Amino acid sequence: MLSLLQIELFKISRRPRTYIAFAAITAIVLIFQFAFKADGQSYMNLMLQNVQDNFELDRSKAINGYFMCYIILNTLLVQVPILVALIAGDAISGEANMGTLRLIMTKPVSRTQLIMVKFFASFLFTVFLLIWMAVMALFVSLFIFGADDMLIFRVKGEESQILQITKDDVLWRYFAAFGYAAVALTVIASLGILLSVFAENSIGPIVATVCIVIFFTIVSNINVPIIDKNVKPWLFTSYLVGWKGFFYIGTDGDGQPIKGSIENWAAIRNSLYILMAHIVLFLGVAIYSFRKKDILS
Amino acid sequence: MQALLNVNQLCKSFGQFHAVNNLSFTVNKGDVFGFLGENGAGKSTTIRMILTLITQTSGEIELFGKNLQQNRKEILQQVGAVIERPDLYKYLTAYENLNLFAKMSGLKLSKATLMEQLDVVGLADRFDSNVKTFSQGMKQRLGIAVALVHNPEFIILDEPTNGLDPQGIADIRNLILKLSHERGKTILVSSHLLSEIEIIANRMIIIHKGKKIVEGEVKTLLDPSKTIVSIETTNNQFAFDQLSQSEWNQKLTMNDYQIQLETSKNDIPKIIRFLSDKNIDIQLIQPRHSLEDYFLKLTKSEKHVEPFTN
Repeated sequence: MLSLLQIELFKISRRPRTYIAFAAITAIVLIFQFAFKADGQSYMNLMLQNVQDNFELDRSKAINGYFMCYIILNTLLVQVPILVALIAGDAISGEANMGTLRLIMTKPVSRTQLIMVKFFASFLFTVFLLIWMAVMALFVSLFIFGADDMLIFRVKGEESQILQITKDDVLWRYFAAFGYAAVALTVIASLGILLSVFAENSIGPIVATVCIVIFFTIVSNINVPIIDKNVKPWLFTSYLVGWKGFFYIGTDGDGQPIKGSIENWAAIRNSLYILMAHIVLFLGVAIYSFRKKDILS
Repeated sequence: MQALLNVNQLCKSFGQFHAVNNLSFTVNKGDVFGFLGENGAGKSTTIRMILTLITQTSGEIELFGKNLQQNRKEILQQVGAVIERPDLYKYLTAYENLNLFAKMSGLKLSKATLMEQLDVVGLADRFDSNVKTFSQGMKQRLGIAVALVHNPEFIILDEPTNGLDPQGIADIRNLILKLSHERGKTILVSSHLLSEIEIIANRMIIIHKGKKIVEGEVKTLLDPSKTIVSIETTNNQFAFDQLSQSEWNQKLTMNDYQIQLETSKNDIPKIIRFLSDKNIDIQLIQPRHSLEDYFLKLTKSEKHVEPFTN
């Protein structure tokens, strides 16, 4: 199994398309960093215009590496599923399209093994992608903008909030958030693999994965009570942005933030369970379908 | 002879279409077994079932004396195959492709061993070239190297000469004979060309619409005493009249262009001498085995064809 995984990673590493995702992330992060370095104060003024009167802060320190990373992740983690779909959607269908699937299946490799290897390879790709995001969005931002206390702008119900996390309480939250994002994006990877089982070219499953994510995300953002109650809990996209929960710091009775705390750990934990259940479901269906499939490509 | 592959009452249906219908045959150890049939006869479907790429609707396949479904992994360790086109990773080199599939077979081979394998198929000097730069013939040879990399006992080659130029066809043919004679491999080769099977195989089967037509030793099935000789002369009618009064008058026919008669292949020099003695100029004389004739009828006609009797 380990040998097969090494082979899979070798193949992924030799394909030019693999690096599109890394190049895209690098370009987007650099644009963000350049824009905020050049004119970050305008953004900060816009965000603070509603709370200017009752919130005192040193604006020159508000735009720091931690804040930048949060802003970048907020934008980027919506797009990254597309990059993950590029690899996962191609997993089986790409082999079928190239004609190599039938050659692999004439080797002493079981179908379950192949799906699992494709899954682990997609998972590792997702992890590498997130590590690269962490390097670019967090560490490069810290290098450019420095470290300081972090501000989070949040809309809770009908109320706008600004949360402040001290700089010595931020880093672990990022590690936790990246860990959560890895699980969330692995759901996309397993969905991509599932769809790729049924196709004999890569375009279909990649487009289908992206379309499903976009469709579910739109439905997840419809704020109508009937959808909130009956539909959203069943959509995995409702849980993709759960990483933000690590930055919603818990408060004491006086509304003061408690260092090292999370406002709603139970919600994050439940979201993780639901995401993992989706991974198991998608992967299980993929294995079942692939074992039954006649390879005619 | 020890049976290496036993196919027993194999059936495969896609909906209402019966691609393979109650097919049974045996490949013995050491055979070069020709698997012959027109395009769409069910050859590739059968081969894909033997390689577990598709599941049979019914019937049994035994390889090395073991049930294929129950011992898939163990059996496939001793089987190498090229199915239709030799599709490989185009963005990898020949060496990388070979190394990758060796690892997939659970082997960690040295560079020297892999280079030796590439040398067998004549690709050692192109080991570091990307497959996308290869000709069809080179891809086919690399595909065979991939099939052989784990030193399998049984090799399946599905239409290995498809799309190749004459030199490529000759190379593959020689390679098959070398693998059989020098390495003692058992080989199943599918083709839609009887002439190709005739040259390389010692046993063969012909299938049509998923059913077995005939199976046996090539030298028996292609017995030279059952040769159909086509003759074109400057005066076919006169030649036909002369032959009608000769010893070859039993199975003699004529159409607008040719005279045909069935005889032994050894009689051809006598026929030439006979016609020459009658001052008939021969423009063409072409021997064809009655099985070939029968196979041509199968492949050219959709009408009912009577079963072949040798």
